[in-house]
Amino acid sequence: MALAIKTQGYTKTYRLLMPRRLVNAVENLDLEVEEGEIYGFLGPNGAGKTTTIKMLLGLTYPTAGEAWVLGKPAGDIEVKRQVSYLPESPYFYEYMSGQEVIDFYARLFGLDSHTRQKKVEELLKTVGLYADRHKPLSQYSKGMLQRIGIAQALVNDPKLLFFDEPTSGLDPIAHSEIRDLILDLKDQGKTVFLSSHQLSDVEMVCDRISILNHGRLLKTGDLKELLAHGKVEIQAQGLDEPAIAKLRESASEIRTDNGTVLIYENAGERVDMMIDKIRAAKGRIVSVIPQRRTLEDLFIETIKEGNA
Amino acid sequence: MSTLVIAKATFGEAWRKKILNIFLLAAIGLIAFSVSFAFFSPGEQMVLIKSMGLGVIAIGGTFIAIIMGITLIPAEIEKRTIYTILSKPVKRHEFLLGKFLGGVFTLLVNITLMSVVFMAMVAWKAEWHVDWALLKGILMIFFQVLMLIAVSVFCSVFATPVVNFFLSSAAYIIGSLSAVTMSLSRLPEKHPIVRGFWWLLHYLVPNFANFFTQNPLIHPEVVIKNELIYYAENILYALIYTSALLIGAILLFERREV
Amino acid sequence: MTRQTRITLLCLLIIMLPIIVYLQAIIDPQRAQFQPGRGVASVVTEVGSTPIVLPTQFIFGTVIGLREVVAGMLWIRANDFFHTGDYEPIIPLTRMITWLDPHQLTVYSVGAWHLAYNFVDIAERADRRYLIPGMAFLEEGIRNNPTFWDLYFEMGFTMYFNKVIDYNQAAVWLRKAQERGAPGRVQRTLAHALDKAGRVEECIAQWRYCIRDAERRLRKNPNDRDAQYDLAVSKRNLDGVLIHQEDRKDIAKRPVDIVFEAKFERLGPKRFRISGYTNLPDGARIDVTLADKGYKEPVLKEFTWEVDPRVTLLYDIGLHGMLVQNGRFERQFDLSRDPKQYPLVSPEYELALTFTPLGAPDEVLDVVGWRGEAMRAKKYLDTSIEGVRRIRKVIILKREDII
Repeated sequence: MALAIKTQGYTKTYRLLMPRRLVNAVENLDLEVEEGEIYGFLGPNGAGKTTTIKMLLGLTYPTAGEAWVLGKPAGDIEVKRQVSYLPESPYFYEYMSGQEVIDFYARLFGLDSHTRQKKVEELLKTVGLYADRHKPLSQYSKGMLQRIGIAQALVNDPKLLFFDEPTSGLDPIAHSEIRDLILDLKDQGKTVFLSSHQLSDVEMVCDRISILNHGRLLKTGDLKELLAHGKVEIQAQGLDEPAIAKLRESASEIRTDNGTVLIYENAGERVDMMIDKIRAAKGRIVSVIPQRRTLEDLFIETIKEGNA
Repeated sequence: MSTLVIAKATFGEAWRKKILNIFLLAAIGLIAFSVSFAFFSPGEQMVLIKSMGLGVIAIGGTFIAIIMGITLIPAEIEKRTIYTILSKPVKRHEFLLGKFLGGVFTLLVNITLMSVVFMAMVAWKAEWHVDWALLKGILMIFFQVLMLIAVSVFCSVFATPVVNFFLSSAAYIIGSLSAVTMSLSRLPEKHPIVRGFWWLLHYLVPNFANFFTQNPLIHPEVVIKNELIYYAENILYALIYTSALLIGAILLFERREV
Repeated sequence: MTRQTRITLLCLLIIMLPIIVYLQAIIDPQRAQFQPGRGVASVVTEVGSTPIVLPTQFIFGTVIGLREVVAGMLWIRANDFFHTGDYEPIIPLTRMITWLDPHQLTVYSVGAWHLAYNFVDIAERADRRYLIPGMAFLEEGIRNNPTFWDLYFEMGFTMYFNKVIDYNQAAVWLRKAQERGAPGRVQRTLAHALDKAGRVEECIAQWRYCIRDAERRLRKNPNDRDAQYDLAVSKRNLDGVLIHQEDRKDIAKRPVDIVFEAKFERLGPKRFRISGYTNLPDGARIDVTLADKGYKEPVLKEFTWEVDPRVTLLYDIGLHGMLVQNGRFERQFDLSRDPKQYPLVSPEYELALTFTPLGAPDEVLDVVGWRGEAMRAKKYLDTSIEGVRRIRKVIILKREDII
């Protein structure tokens, strides 16, 4: 599959004056994003996520390394015709109405008047702002502004979209609508590069993710696979204390809870082995359930490992 | 073309800036007020009305040029509207030129409004004889503030608005004292390095004093030789200087992190 | 932006710089034309030689191009000073105003008048030392406003006619005013100056000119009241001159021996009396001038109100001269109460007592002639001025004679 984004050794270093030192906002980033996928780009505040996006869009220049967007060098002007960006908490010309601001961005693509008119109407309906199209943006709520941001990001029917915290500050219903929109975009074959703190949203929509901290890439891969490396829980009852003590010697992790014994083992042979031992000790198997990690767990774990 | 789209949006935003609107109204009010100089004889009154009117248009234009110039680009960066624009297929120089043209058009509209009131006041005092010669002075004021806004835009690429305000104001004051810098660069008793410093200052800082052509308009009996040539030279000077500043701004802005 | 484009723009910038310098170099010499006139040298030298600080609220106005407005406001202040009798700041103020706006004619004429007339001693006698600066100020105004008749008139009438009492020079300046479209009253003043200068034929020609001009204006507008007045007065004055001309025809063939004697008497420290007798007709005036011996009037190229504090000048001339009544004339002078105006530091002084026919009343001229043609005198007859016969006695005084 073709790559929508590729970076090699991508680095951004800032020279601070007080005190004099160099700070690596992004350090040796090697990234690959395939076309047609929703890619989650995660990290705590100050990890370097927005800096990476700005470099890919040519808003900032890398100190070292290279990057390609849709096969062309990052920042290439023609590539920008197929790319769009929704920044965090977007700000637009307040005096313009919703309709005018979408029209303004459409003009930047050189669309003719007829095409623009149709496009503006269509986008406003898509984001649910058609009824408020004549109001000046100064009267829009945060959620409405976010929708306008999405509308301007769709004006050129891009192949690749950069979304930076698209659900920041939105209510749960709006969250859900944005998630659905992102999934729709994927269905249309578009690539979405999603930078977000909302791990629940990321978990629901993303195919692959990267986790970044202090400018360094800590983890990258398929989301399902990353979350799937969990343990299996075996619940057993009817075991006496000597039997529990014997099981404790070989189990990876064992707990008791009101007569129920909970054993956690990695998936595979060890699960079978523990089941056999429980049966041999005349215990009764209540359930065998594979445990799935949450993205939050993975995130925290990864960050901790990175800090260590 | 992206430049014109951005220019139009810039004008729309600037036109709604309260501080500029208040100043425009105040300037128009002052021009209108100038007809109340009843203490003087009619001839002297006309001198005062013309002097006041041209002076207010010049100050107004200067103020608007500086205030606009120092915020045109930094405001876009601070509010991050620049992200959604530069992430589109808009070249940096198109963005900068668009902002500049929007500012210039705002200046033009403001100066035109003040001039209409001014010309009407003068015509009213002269029993409705319009003094078209005053347009020459207004034209010179426009080119003067064109250079000034170019200075502000150039400085805005690397300086904060506060620093830029002082830089632009200093450039305006030094450029208005051309006679002084010229005299100091020619004083024979001064050290060559000192003279060289004043020479550089005189020729490199834009000479706004070139455009102070109010005197013969206020006192028509003053005769000027080769007036048209003087105006043509100054317009050319303003256009070339403005272009040079914009080229400098484009080159600097090209590598500026936003 | 490609590297190529960047290099191209840089080259363009480098090419523009010398063009900008060149354009400025050719604009520089032409810019001076737009500056408000002479007397407003470069800001540096003007500020350097004129130790005056503009009030801060006015400085802003001058920097931003509101010179005339600032000048106007300062003139209102100056006017206040006149009305309150606070004369000290008026000269610096008028200097400031004309520096800002050299086209304020009223300020030049009032400033010059103020200098020449208003620095007075206890006896309301003007300080003669300020006359030259007053005239220099007016000359500056004329240089900056060469096409307006007003200041030429001021020079001719206020200065030469009334103060210097030089009717020939007065006529020169009044004629310049007339050439610049001055109204009827100025034309008539020129005629009077020619009359008093004893240039009778020219005087008659001028009255006829006044009449023709008034008639021309009346043809244009029969209701022109100024023209009506000018016509009536000019006709009347012309008649008067023609009668006098007839009366004084061949007056030189009717000579009169003029007897004149005068003496100086010291009355006390810096107090003295001048008295004398003469057979000049009653109504004649004897000019009194007291000056440092060898004093020469300075020639001012540029206006300054600085005068030499060591010079002593006393001029009672023209209508301020001593009046001859019943063959006698006398006046007391007290210089002790004005030490600033009369420093009396020079070791010697020239006291001149002069009768000149120029400007004398008609009853005197009927006896001596317009230019003293009929005057004869055994003593003190002075013919140093071409075509004019005067009676003049000069007494050299030592400082001790006065102190």
